[in-house]
Amino acid sequence: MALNPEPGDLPADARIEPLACGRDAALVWDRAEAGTPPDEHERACPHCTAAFADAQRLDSVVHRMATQELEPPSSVMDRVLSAVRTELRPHDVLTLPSPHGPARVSRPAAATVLRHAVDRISGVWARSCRIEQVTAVESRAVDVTLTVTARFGIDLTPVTARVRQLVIAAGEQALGIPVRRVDIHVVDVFEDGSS
Amino acid sequence: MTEPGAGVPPVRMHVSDAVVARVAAQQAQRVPGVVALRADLGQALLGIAGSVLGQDRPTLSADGVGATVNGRSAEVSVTIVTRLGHNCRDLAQAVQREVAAEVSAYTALDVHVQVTIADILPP
Repeated sequence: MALNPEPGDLPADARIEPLACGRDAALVWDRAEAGTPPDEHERACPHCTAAFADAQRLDSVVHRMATQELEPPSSVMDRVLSAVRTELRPHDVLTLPSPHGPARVSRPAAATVLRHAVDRISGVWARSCRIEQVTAVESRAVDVTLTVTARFGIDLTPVTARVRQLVIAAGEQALGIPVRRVDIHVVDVFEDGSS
Repeated sequence: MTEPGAGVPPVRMHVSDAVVARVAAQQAQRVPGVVALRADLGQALLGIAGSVLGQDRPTLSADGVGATVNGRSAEVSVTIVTRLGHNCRDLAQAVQREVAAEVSAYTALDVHVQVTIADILPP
């Protein structure tokens, strides 16, 4: 009860009435919680006995609840992680053209969309995808830099032309952002059967 | 708004941030292409705390929406998740348009909506 202000600081109606026997109920509760056995007066006095029993009942309920096993729902991890990811990169976004005010799309999500478009072509796999927005241009156009791996023996010229075409189409159709330039780096080749 | 001398005391209504946020969240979820609203860290933790403690609040969720009422206007920010196949530019504009229209019809505030697409799920 160390946190209680001095009785003099309290307004008159907030002061706690002592028990009918004249003892302070808070002191009785404190002693009950501390496990002190009731003294002679408390054993005999019906008011103190009642207060003592109340304190012990509350104590047992609190202990029972404290020992209960909490079962967090299975989705906790997912929800926390996706919230943390969103929070960590709040500014890693591309601006979408909109007459109604600020509209943005997460840059990693946009990169996933473009990589997904590239992966539809047989013979190449997208690795990294960097998107840089050209802020000076009103249309919000972007420059895309891709690294890809190609199947060994494939003719690179038509395939990269196709990659370029699909990235531009995905930018317009899935994102709504015009693609101004596509740089494609073929960084590796793979053999058939492995990817 | 009230005629002077009519004997009716003038009514001044103030709409709180929470009202704007909840109305905006309901409307944003109805826009085709919006798969979910993405709660920020604070909202996610509060939601988890609520479900662990067994508080099944019958209130409307405002997860993923932030709102500030400033006099006669309101700033709303909505964070959404969509699915591949919806054009992000068109979706963002539709959310801005529909949320602004709904909140402004409900609260008579001048509403500006900011949209962030946080994630695009595979089809």
